[in-house]
Amino acid sequence: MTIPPGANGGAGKAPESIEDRAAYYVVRLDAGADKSEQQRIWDWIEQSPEHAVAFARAKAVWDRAGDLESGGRDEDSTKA
Amino acid sequence: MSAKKSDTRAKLSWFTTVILPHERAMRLYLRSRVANAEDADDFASEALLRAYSTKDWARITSGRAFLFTIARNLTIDAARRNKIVAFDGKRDPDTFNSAIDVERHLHARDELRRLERIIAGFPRQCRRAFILRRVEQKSFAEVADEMGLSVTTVEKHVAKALGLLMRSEMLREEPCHDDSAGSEWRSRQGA
Repeated sequence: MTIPPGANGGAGKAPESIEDRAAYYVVRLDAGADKSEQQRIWDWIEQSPEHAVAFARAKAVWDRAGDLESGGRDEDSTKA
Repeated sequence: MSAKKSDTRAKLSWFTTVILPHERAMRLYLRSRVANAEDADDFASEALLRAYSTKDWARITSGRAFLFTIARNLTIDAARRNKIVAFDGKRDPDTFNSAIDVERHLHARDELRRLERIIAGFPRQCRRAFILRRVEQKSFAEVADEMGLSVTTVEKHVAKALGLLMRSEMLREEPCHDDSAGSEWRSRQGA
């Protein structure tokens, strides 16, 4: 029903901390996780308030970063 | 969708819109009350957790007052047990003007500059993957192609960058030390 802590949830290698895992799951959802992976991520979120808080924080930071303007890339570009 | 799942979604949505916008101000507030920065971060984590775990969350609409009260009570309890060194009580949430100023100035533009500065300090691959995906809005496949990496590796770089961004809220002084990275970012915009 739920993913045991530290287990590989089928979403690649398990990151070490709750924050890292939450960040990874936000990225997996962005990358197009399939239904069963989405379900595993939700199970993880519901497993504990710590998970839910970390996920919410990761998603909030992800959304905020989406407002960054283009032009900040580290590659040289002459594009106006 | 199970009832439990939809409830979790509603609660997460509440937490994201009502509580999290005040996270940063609360951290600064805690740092003004607690001598040790790590203690302040511990209290911040605990306060967020307690806010999320509140049973009648749906009735709470003033996230700032709610979160600051939890944070303040945590420091009072800890000081009573001599667990921490707390500063005097003059800085209660209502008179914490600097936090209010912080919130006022934390709107869009300043917050984005702060993010830019932090991202500029990331390891190169990690920074590039994150910017290509999140800022340039390229697909993971496109980023992987451009960087000559596998999609899985790109995802890991992007996730690492996101984790670093999350941590940048903690344990740090305001990142106003070195603005050179940020101005390098700006200068590319041809403004």
